[in-house]
Amino acid sequence: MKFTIPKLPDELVFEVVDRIGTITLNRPEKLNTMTPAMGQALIELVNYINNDPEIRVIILTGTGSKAFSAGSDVKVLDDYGSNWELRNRVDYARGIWQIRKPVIAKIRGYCIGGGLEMALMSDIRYATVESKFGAGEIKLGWHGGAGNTQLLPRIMSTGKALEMLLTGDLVSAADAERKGLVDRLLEESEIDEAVANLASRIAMNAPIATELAKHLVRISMSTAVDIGLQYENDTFAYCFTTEDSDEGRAAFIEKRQPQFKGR
Amino acid sequence: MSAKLSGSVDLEIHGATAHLILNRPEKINAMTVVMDEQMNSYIGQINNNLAIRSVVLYGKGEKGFCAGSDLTELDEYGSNWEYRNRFSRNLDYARAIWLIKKPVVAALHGWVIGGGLEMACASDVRISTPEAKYMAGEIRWGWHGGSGQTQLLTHTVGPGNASLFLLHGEAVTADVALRMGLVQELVSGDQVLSRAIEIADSIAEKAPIAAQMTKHMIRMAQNTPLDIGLLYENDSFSYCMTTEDAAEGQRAFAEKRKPEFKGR
Repeated sequence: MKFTIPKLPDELVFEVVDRIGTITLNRPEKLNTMTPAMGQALIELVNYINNDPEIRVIILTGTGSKAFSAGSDVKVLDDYGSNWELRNRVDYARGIWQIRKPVIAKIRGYCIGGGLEMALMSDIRYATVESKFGAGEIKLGWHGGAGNTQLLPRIMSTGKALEMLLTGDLVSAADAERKGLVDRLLEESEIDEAVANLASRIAMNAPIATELAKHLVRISMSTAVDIGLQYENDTFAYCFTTEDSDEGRAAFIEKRQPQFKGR
Repeated sequence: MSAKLSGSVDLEIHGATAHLILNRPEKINAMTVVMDEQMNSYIGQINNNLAIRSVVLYGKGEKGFCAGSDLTELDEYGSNWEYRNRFSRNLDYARAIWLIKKPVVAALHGWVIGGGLEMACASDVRISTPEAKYMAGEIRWGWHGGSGQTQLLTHTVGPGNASLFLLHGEAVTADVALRMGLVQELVSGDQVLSRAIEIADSIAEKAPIAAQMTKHMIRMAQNTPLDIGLLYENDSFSYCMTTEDAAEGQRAFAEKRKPEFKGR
């Protein structure tokens, strides 16, 4: 099956280099806030990413150093339609959650509201020391609707999560790292290389195994540990039916780098 | 993509009800990859079009509702890993039915096998002819269903009945399926589709937000601990009461007339 990259608006850029796909939120003059049209395009892009076996890992980032993303553009919230249509929206953060392949968030500047939710829906978060995090919705009269209340307390303690969710105050990058929200804190001059290195290391590994590892970590968040342990053992057994596991064993014995094909 | 095989899945809109039609009667509506893609292509439209309030699912022809996937064509899905990834590739027809937010009524006749049974299980209400036969035959070929059969069937008919289906692999008659709770009504062959349409049209007359929330909460009942479900239900009920349609419902009740719902 052949799939083509869907036509994207200028505000959403996607490129693939060496099996690493980079999604760039490209609306820097508006802190890379998301419009309904960007969300719709992102969902189509996610379907493409899940279908193209050449893509092994995704980097999610924003243009410029002012913001990763400040979430939904509150000025165009009415574009979603009625309240019921807003409730049934095609959600951009949910779109990130639906990516089957590992997703690395590269965060500079503001990562707030729906931007924070996109970061939470990613698998690994690297951020610059100048980045700032916040769930500011509460200051406007609502709470986040795409993961803030559910994913923050899975990453940090409920008290720390509620401190963010109930005040809406910004949290510094150093504080975010202490809370576990940021997995690695980097200088502006280091972050591109650090993320590129991480992505290429993941991209070298067997795609079936990396995607299943991501899947099983998700399962661990959702199910009882005894169920998860049994599920893990069955996908472990499945991994050994793949050509890549044979290649891995052969490479280990021959003391060379394995060449994985995703089979 | 092979286009040499016949068949299609058709979408027709009748009033506020969408009809999803399996159209490969010469092969008991066995699903091809092309039909799978067509099915998936309709789901966003059904979910996003406010004018669609309910769905009827049925298969054309005398022989049956659906015999599941066309086993001669499974390789078209790609490698084993690609086939495993049907859900995230939007390439699983039973999953597609499960992802419909509007209530789905299935009209079932003749053979309902494998993936056909999974589509039936993924629907909300199932109306059957007395002659229909239900079967999860995968176990006879060396696997079990992968699109809900072991999970949805067990939720629907309980573990003992599901085990009979899934491990024995023999056909179950419609009267037994009725006793198990797999189907809700038995209606003669010439009436089954019109009965399913009647139910779907009746659902389409209800307040759409309330109907879709009800479907959602029934899903929750199958997914979450009871005390969580009860709390969620109350918040969803409170939300319903904020809608224009709930105000219209209260007015219509007081004025002893039929309410006119707008989905707001």
